[in-house]
Amino acid sequence: MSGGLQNVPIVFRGPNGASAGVAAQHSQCFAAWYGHCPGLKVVSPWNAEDAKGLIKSAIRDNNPVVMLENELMYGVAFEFPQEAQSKDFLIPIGKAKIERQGTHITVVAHSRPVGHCVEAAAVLAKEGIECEVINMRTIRPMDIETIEASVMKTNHLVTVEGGWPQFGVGAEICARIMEGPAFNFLDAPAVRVTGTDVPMPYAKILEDNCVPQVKDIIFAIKKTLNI
Amino acid sequence: MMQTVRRMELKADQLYKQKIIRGFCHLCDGQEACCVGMEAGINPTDHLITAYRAHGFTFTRGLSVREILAELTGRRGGCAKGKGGSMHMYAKNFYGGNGIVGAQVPLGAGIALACKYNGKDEVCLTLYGDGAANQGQIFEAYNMAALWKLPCIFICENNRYGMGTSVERAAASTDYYKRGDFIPGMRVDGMDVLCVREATKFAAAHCRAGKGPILMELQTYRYHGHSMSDPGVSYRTREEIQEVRSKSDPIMLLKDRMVNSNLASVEELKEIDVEVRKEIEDAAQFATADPEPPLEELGYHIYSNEPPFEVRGANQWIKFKSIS
Repeated sequence: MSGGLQNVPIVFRGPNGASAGVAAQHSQCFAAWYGHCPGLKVVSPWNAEDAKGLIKSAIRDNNPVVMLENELMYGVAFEFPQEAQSKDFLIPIGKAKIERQGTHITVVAHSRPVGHCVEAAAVLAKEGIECEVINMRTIRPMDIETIEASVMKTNHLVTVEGGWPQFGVGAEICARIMEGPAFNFLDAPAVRVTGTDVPMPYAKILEDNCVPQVKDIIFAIKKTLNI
Repeated sequence: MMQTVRRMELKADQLYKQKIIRGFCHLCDGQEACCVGMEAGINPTDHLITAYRAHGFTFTRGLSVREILAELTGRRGGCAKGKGGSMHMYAKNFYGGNGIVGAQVPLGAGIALACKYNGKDEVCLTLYGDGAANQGQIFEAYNMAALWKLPCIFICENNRYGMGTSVERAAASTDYYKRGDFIPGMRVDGMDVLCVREATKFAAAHCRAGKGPILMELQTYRYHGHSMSDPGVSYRTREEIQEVRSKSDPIMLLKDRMVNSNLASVEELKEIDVEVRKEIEDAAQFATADPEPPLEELGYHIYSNEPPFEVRGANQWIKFKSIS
């Protein structure tokens, strides 16, 4: 807007998405809302390493960055690799990470669902299905190249997110795959696993069925692979 | 009524600690004089909207303890069928139960606009806390209400702490009743139920006479922390809480008055307490035994007055039906 004169070096960080029992006004995922806006950078860490590396990169970045954390992940402990303990450990914004190598299907997620995907992959490995799990780390600018390279290798794609399906992160990934070279490598339509398309209810049994669970991810993977 | 609210909140505290209630739970014990006094000063046809410390108001606006506790435990017998939880309870002419701080104030001004438009002489009580009082949207609501002379009674329930921040640390001016600037305001003893009732009657009469909005600051106190995840003693001393309990407890104040003016005997008041305890116990029993809402109804009530449609679940093969 200012023709490059005024920059906005600010970071907004906070919990995003569903927690436990906090109902409709406190469970919404804003990844798609913020990811929609040009001029913003949006990051979404999964584990401790992501959280540290991304917040440092966000602070050092001269642009407005929104960091979408997850309340349920605050209490989860992770192995912290040696290099992550340095005070200059940065994770570049706009680069996804392959958490698990695989050959049969690409599973893409951000934030807490990455953990569910890793779990699902472990279960499926016992049945001989090797999933490649990609942790997006950044929503905007999206690292579509990593996803494309993976899809060109595995020929199948499932996206997983906590947010609602319509106009969401998964929808954007699918659209971009169609626009790029990876489309011709798909053996089946890409599938999205998302939160249920309702305002978050309070009762436990309802809430549990409104967030993507490991069983939903496994089901989607098997359907895509036609198993 | 105050005794019922008090016992209900204490029962909710118990159930939360037993993990039968989850998520958020903001209790209003200590502030009973506010909800009971206000209800006594208005008609059932008037309107009320407040924030998340709403269990007391849900009761005074007409719902039963059963429905409230069952909603807190997330069961189908709850007032919102288990879908709302603590912060999303509604009743006739009671618009909740709002989780987002301060957001209910512009809504309240809107309800007052509807009251004026419908011309039925109704008023809207729009409540917010000392923390929310510093929000910009409150001042926008003040402006519009005053400009259009809306029958809106803005009520600031000042319990001295916005979560863990004391009013001195949060507000440049702690005279919340003056914050309406061009809107006349009064400061009310929120621990005295009769005081609250009379002030509410005065304010309602002011609005019904077409004089526009008015502001009330109720000086009150909450015994519990901000919510059940807050012990409530890291930003205030136990001595302070004890002092309020022994000198200004709203139920104690009313009891003393009634006994000293021979309006009731100590035995009669004890009887009321016994009945209240029974009502709460029954309600708690119901709230713990009632089953959770059925999974098939997960998608219901998204829209109002709409023909049935399908709701997508966690993937495209999971579908829920949605009826209004």
